[in-house]
Amino acid sequence: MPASQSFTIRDFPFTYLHLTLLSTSPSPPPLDGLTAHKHLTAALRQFLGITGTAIPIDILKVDDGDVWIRVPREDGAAVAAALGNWVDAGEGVSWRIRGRGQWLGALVARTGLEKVWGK
Amino acid sequence: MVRVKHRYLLLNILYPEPEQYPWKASLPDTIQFHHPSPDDLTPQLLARAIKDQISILYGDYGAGLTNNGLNIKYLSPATSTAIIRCSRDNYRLVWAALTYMTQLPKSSRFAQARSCVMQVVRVSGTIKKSEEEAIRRAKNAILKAKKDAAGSATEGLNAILDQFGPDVDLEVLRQKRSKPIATLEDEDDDDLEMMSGSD
Repeated sequence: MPASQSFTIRDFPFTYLHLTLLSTSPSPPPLDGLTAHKHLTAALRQFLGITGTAIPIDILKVDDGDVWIRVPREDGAAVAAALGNWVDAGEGVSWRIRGRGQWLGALVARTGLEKVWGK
Repeated sequence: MVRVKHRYLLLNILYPEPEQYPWKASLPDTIQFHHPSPDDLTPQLLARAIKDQISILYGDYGAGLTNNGLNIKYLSPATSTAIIRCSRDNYRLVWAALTYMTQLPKSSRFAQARSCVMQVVRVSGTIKKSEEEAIRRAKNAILKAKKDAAGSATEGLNAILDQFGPDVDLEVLRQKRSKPIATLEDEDDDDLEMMSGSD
């Protein structure tokens, strides 16, 4: 038998986040990519200023209030802090972070878990 | 005992736009750049301007990080020099915010915007070293400005005097200087004629 080799993958390039837009209005308009981008940059600008808006965010999927984004790994913590702290008082919206991780597969699987145990 | 370490940034405020002060155009550049600042620039105003710039550049996070340790220890509008104290851990944030400031803070909403450049020339751990550096730079600036001002007026004349020796008629020299380039042009024309002849 050939000797086994092991590889360790360090330093994933991206951090993936699964977000939900919470709204105070009873029937919020459906979320699209442009509105999501607007809310994301507003949150980053307030918490991190111009350097926050310079963080490259890729919006992977927008699906009925759920948003999947990816950011460079070293900015993951800053983006999570910015989104968690943000509230737009004028429109009554805020972000809720449902999951954060460096592997998208695990993040997607976690949503199934919420459906079983959560609402 | 835990000591909070600080950094002292020595700041020069430069005015590289001479159009704002057209009557001073005859002065050498070194004096023009180090123009005195207007008197309404107070330490409180400058501190507020730096904090606002940090807030723009780094948001709430940067403002909270740097707010506590940021003071203006020394400000001289006459020499456009300031010494700013900030925490050792985030002096680079303050330095970056200073770099991105393009105009002086306005004393009132209707005052005119005055553009300037903030140049950090020294970072030191003690205020004494910053003061010494400020004094040294001021001395060097005065010497350089004197040399520039003296040199530009008599530079051409000195070169000619050296060439001909001490006994020289200034009128003759001035006439010579008034028609300088004609001989050079003639030489060039001769070269061209020679080259076309050889073809």
